[in-house]
Amino acid sequence: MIQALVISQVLLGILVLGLGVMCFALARQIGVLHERIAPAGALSVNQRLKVGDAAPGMSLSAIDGRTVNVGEAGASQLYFFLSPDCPICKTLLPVVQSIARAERDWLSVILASDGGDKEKHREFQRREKLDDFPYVLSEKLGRSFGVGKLPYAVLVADGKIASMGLVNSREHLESLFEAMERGVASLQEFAARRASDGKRDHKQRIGA
Amino acid sequence: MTIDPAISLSFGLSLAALLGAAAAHKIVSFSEFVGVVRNYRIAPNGLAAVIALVVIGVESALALGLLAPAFRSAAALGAAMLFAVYAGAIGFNLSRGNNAIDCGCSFGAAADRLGPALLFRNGALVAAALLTALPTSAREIGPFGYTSAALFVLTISILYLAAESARSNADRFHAMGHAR
Repeated sequence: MIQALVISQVLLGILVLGLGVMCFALARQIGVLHERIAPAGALSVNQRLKVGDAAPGMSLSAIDGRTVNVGEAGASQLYFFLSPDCPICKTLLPVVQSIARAERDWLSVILASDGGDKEKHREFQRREKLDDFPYVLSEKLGRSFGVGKLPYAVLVADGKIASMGLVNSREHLESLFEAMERGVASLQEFAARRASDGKRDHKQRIGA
Repeated sequence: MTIDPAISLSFGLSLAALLGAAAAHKIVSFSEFVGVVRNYRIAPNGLAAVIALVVIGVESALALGLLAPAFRSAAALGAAMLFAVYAGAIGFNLSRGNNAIDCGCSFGAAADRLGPALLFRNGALVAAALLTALPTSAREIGPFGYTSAALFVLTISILYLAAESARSNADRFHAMGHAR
């Protein structure tokens, strides 16, 4: 009897040790994940404008006749540059719509494209149910915002560029708002700054 | 009040492993540890290296003392005092808001900041050391007792590391959420 208890006790001890090892491995993995997951943001490639610059001012009329004052002082606008024949733009439209709904008390969303047949754009606007948003066709707008690739988005707060970038996913689009809230040009800059903060902390710690 | 020798052995060896590993790590990254001591801002900077050496010496001596049955009680009392002193230094820096420093007590874990969790941890270590310091009852330990003690030391060590990992993760998680 005693022998059986001894054996079971030792086996249990080994099992508990195994559980402890698993527990430790999982905790370490979470630590590694914390290191690896850096915030992902929209790629901000722009030769013309910098974050903080005043948005180029111009007055445009949308295809439905509405007037859009670009870079108006005091206005907060999200410019979403798209094209009817860009598939990624289309997948992002529901995201743009949900952002417009959620932020409608301070932000107006403007869709922008250029060239091509005006009828084609109008048909696209109807099909994708984008009637709520002013849809402007202007090559000048895209050029003055330095838009290279689509879909591109520029967030303008109080007439100034708050953030901008090539947006390929909901995460990228949301990163523009995140960057604005955190007061950085892009989340890449945010991550880089945090990394260098970390290094500085480390140097401080080791007294270097 | 006495405790069973198997319990005393288990706790004593575990504390010896902890102090030994801590001292070894401090020796390996000595210059870093001097920086840690300096950051605690308790003694003049010039004394930091001396304090670092004393800490390493005390930790090593206590680890060795805990291994020898004749010195276990005394060494355990010393360990309890050491952990209490650490807790005091951490608590002092927490109270004056100097918490963004490496505690220097977690084998160099990343992003290890001072926090109240460290006070609880050190409280538990003090309790374990005081338990070890109690006189033991007369009983032969036997092979089964030694096996149990060995399993205990291994398991408690790995659980200690897991808990330290979780604490450091919690710090990082906290840092993420409050970065905005």
